[in-house]
Amino acid sequence: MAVRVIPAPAEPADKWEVQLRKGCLELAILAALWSERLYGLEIMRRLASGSGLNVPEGTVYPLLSRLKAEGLLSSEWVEADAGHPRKYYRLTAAGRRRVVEMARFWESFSASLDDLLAPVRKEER
Amino acid sequence: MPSVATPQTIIDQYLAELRTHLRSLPHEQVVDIVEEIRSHIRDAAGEGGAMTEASINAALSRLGAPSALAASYVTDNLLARAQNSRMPWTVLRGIFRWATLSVKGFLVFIVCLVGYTFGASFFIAALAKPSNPKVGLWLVGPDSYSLALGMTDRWPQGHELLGWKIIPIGLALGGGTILLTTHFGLWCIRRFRQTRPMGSFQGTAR
Repeated sequence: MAVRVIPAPAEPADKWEVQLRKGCLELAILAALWSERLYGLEIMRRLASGSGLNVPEGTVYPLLSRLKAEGLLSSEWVEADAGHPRKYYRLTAAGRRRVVEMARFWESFSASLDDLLAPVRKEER
Repeated sequence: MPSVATPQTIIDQYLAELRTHLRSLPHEQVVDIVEEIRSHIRDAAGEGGAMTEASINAALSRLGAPSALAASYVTDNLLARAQNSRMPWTVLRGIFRWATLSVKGFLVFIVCLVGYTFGASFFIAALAKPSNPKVGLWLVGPDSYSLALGMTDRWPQGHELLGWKIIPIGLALGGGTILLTTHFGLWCIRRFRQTRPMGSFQGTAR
């Protein structure tokens, strides 16, 4: 029986991935709130299922607070069926503009990076 | 006395500690943060039904230590306040906070502290000159050639460099240095916050 060895990612690449995820977190959170208001835990679930961003809670809540301070998000307390109130976040008008800008940049950036990566992919195959 | 750790007391202890570490923030903000985290713990720990000690501990460990969680909020708040107010005191306070977290922050803090001290000395000397003529920029000599700003004991052996001109020069130089230091500090804060979009200093995921 062959034993499959999963290669451990090299340290620099691993670090690069973390940095990349970090950098995208703000965009991911704002995008998750595009069509509806959500509370903190819902946002994290959305990120985990939508983009594989498993972010520790201790990071998300302070970031939500900062985005709110920057005027990109607003929040409200809503009495829930769960028996306790939940703090819901929604995009403000400034927040919506910001997501649109970020999404636009993301698209042009990833398109040009894809061009660069095309030969690499060819070789891989 | 044996301590009885019911689910509720574990949560309360965590939140009490969080509240303590958040005390430098405005009261309403502290209440808001603590209630949000309380609501989160209830949701996260009660996902599979009733909260148990194990599910609460799991939820709390994902949140991280209360002191670390609070530090993320407080640091970000102080730096944001420094950027908004642009006053030397709040800028220095924000950078001081940053200095406790990284070597880079510490260096920026030292530079700003020196800048502000230098600027303030000239400023104060210029303001004090009319009421106290002994105040000035002194070349303390003749054996040692060090410059002393203020009143020197060795007067009149020392040699005053600027005389009454210290008033306009001191005001301009002092004010300019303070302004420059503030801009430098704010520029560093802005760059620092841009490179840390997580608003967190915990580094990579644990």
